[in-house]
Amino acid sequence: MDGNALVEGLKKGDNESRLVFWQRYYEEVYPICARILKSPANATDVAVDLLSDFMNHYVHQLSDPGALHAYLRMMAIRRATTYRNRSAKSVSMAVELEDTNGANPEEIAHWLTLVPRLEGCLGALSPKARQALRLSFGHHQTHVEIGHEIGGSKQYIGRLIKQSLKALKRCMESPLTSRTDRMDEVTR
Amino acid sequence: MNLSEREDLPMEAIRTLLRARPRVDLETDCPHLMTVALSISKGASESVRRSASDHLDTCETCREAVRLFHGAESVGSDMDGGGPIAAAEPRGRDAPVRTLHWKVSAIAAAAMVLAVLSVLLFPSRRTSETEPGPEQQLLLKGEEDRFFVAIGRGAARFTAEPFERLVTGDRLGMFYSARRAGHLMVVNLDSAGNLSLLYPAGQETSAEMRPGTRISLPDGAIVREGTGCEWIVAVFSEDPLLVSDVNESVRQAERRDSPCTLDPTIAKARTLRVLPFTR
Repeated sequence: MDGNALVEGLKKGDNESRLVFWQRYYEEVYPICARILKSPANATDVAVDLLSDFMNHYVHQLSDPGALHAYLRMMAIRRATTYRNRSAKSVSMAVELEDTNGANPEEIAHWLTLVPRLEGCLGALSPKARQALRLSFGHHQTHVEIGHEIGGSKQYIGRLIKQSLKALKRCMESPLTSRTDRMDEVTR
Repeated sequence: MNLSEREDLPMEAIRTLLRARPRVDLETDCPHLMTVALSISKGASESVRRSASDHLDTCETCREAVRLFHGAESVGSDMDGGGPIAAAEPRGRDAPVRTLHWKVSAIAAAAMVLAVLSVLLFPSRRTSETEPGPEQQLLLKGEEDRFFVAIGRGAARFTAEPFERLVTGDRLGMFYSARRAGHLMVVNLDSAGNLSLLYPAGQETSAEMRPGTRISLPDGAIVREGTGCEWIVAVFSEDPLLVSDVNESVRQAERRDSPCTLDPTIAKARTLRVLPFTR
């Protein structure tokens, strides 16, 4: 599928185009984010957000498919750098926790201590598992929609997310010294 | 909380934390960023580059994006093929593309004979890596001083890029952009170490320079026979500098032939622009 056909397909919401786009450009965007952020979990989040935002919004502003490659690279660098430079990540998460759950300050403080652990455990998951989790929890996509982007049936995505959550739970509950070992059952 | 202790985490807590992971929302994304991205793509037309350059003059969002892009590219990595913009490959291999215009009228009335031409690097991106960057560098208004060389070759007119290959008989014109007044001198260094003063021709000190965008210099050059690397060095300064002092500094600068790099240090210069050429 050439660039013009790909962009036209994305603009129409064509599922095959979405899959091709993801497979082609995730592997270009993720390394850029990883180089800047030094964290597989955070790099996945930024890369997923960028591609998802592009497919759902910015693609309609693209008048020349020739700009796609440079645009995605530019946005990956920009978003990853912005993410890295955020000085109040914990505060923003605290706000999110309070907004979505009505958690009290003690609960929020406790949960925030889990953030580094979560980030480490996410980093040990497979790339596809991280992408699925981000699309599910960060973008509220259905399993069908996720499958159209990263590949896989509804059932496969459902299993992937379920197993990944279990793996995360095991990892985060584990003592620090054995955390890496606990991730040997990470879904692939 | 003791992290070494086991803790039973409810699954809902994990889901909540996943939902609350930070997100970068660039609400200030400019719709013209696409044009800017296109202008640094291989094969971008002159009109696109001009449009992007004009837009960059007025848009801080896009300027920041380009600055970040070039900064990240200059660190480089194997995975994304980045590399220092300063050591960019010649045009035709994803080399940086200038967004400058070249005016026929910029070809100087006074022609100078050059034994060798030097290539001009944009030094702010210089790193220890030598792998060329895959995409071009946009020049942003708002950077301190910029210098450009325009080439007339037969009926063709174009702006020189780093490591541009020069042909005997090429006619060179020079122009600059500067935010502040000052003084400017342009010298040429060939691979044999011969120095020539390109601007101001025949003078002993650098010439006064007024602020502005793409101001043509009255002096130019015609390329003569030569081989190897050449460099054109533009020296911006607050006060006038002696040509002899600048020549000495450039002559003593570290230089390499593969790729053509020159790293001069000139006292009292506020900006140095070094453009490498090959023969």
